[in-house]
Amino acid sequence: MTAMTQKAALFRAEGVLFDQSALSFVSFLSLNSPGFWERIPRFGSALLVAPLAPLFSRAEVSSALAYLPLRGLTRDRIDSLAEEYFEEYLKPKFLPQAGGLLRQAAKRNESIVILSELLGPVVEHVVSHAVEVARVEVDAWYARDLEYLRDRATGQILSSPTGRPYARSWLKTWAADQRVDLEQSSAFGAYKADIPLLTSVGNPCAVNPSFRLRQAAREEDWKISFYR
Amino acid sequence: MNQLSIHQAFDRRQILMVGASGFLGKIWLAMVLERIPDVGRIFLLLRKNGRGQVTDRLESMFNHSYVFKPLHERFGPKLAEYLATRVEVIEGNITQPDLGIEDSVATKLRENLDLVINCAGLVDFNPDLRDAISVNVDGTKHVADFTNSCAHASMLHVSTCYVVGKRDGKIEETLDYTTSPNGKPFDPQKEYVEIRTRMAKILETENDPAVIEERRKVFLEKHQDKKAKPSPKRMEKTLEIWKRKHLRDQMVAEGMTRAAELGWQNTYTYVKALAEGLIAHPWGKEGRYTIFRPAIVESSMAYPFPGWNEGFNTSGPLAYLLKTWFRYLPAKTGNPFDIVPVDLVGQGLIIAAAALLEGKHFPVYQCGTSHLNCFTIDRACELTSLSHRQYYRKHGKNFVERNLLSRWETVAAPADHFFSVTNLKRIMNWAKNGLDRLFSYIRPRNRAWLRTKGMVDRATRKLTKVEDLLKLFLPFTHDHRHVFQTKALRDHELAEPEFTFSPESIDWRKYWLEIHMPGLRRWCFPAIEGKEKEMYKPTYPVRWKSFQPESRRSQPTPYPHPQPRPKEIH
Repeated sequence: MTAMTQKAALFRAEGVLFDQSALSFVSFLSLNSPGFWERIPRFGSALLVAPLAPLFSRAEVSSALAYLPLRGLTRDRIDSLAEEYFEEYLKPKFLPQAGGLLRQAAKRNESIVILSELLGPVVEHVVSHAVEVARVEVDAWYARDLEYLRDRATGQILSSPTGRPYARSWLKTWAADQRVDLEQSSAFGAYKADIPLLTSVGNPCAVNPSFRLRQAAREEDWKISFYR
Repeated sequence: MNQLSIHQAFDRRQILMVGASGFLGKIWLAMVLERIPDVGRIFLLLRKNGRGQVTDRLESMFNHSYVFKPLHERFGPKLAEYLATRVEVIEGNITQPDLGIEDSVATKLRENLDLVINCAGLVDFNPDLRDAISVNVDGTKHVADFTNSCAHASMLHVSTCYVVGKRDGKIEETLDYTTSPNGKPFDPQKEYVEIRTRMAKILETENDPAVIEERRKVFLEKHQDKKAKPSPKRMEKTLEIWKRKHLRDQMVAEGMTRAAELGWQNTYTYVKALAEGLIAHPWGKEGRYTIFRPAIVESSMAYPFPGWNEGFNTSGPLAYLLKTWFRYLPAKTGNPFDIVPVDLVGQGLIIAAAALLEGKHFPVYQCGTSHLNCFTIDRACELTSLSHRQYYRKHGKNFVERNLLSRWETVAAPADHFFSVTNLKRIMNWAKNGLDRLFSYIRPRNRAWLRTKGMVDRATRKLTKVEDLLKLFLPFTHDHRHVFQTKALRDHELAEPEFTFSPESIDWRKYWLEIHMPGLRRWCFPAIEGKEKEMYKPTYPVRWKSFQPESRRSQPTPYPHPQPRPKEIH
């Protein structure tokens, strides 16, 4: 068996690097569709779907619902507006102390990995900004990808490695591929959905945790950090 | 695959370039001077502008156009010295036989030229037919005749892909002048005579004494009630202006009518096709010519720098329109919008020229992107809107621009959309008639009515301008679906891969948002708005005296004048 040689610091972007935005990217794209008459039904369906999606335990179903309002939008539009969404909604909510966490991880010689449930085009800007602010190198980042057919979104998500029920299994496979020793690695999460991620590593840390995560962190005796 | 070395092909060649001051001509010239220093001599045929010397035009071209910036940066104060050994200006005019070149100069050229490139042309879609025929048809014939009189020169004629007219589908690189685009039998020689006859008839009508007399009556009626009667001199001057305007309108209309009758989109594509047909017939068997057909030539990808552009190209006016409150662009989803960056076209032109010089050429080279990397009109529309959105959000002058106009995106729509410009005009007219009737019932016409009527009139005039612009572009955005095959340029196996024509390397989103739209804002929109053109100011401007053979320094130059290449006849 090949020895695991690396340590990693896995950061869940939402809640750790930035405060979750009130307006989701899906809603933002819906409100900024090309046709006026498109904006109303898209945004309307985004509002309807948002509370319904989490009710489904199967991630495929909840994802299928959550991104349906984007069906038919072009890749050009989604990628181009991702920058605007980041500048307007996420960048102002970037948590300055997150830079400190990233620098500490770099000092510990841990590979920095950013995980997010946002779409890839947005996370690309999040990562660039994190690199600029913290002056560290991000070794890898994982986000959700939309399915496209002839450059138009189908409204479906491609199977995501960071999807909630899959986090633990994906993480094990990923660690084996990258020769990362999870026992020596750290992870930073903010929500109950990050529990599988935090339980997989040797040095978990609940950052600005939600009520449920704070409870779990106390039970498991994980490190808790507040800086929001 | 036929093997071709660009450097070998151009080595010590003597080339006459007609149209070097144009958008494409300039970039070809700059690229050759910078990348192919082994070229022998490039003679630039330039027309005098007003009272100035033709050398003033040459200086102005090298000193004011950004396309020569890389040359200035590379050679600095030695640029003039380098140019002196590679470039010579020839005074001439393509609308004249023998290109209007002085006899002694013409004799020397005839002996030594290896290649004549005709890049000159009037690129207006609907010009005065007299100008279009004179420059694009007669000019081309004069260039062909001159080349034919040379000892061993070949001719590279720059045309356009859109000579295909209103045909759809895959357009092969072939020459066919036996049928017009709408299937009617077509003989270029006979067509030339026919169009000349039509033009003569229009001129005859305008010079008819009865027509002149009718105009005089109209003029006098207009001034009947005025206190001060116009002098006879003023009357004649006004009548002359009316005649010229009416004649111009007739000629413009005639060109468009004839083009439509035969199946071409507009006067430009019709005359370019006619010119191709006229030179092909006498030359076809000898194989000493090739036709180069670029598609829609736009901002450069990389040379001289990303985004360089000049004047009014095809997408400029459309992109400008899309930054206003204009909403529905008549465009068919999926139709190719065959944009090709000008530096890629320059490269293609170099390949075609090299092939012709080596006798390895194909009869036609099409230079577009629809075959290898298709870019569609609906995608162009969306990217343009997104670009304007980004621009207004950062640079909008007020709340309306930053927050409303930025989100007011133009979308591709069918030509008969409910809110098409034509329908909007109809709505405006109804509104105007309705208001007229309303005010005549309610109260006598007053300031409020006049102000409202004025607004509606202005809006209608603007809509008419937009409608006329869209009509010109409709064949390209909506009516036709062309995919121009681009095989010939790729069929040469180049010894120098840096000259390869590779449209698949274009990332359309990056090109449109980061290169082309900023390029249009810098180079094209100011021209549309009537603002002053941005001029390059080199640190070491080139002066004509440096070009004079007698003033060249006696000490050895790092750029020796290449000896002419031995004559080769293919």
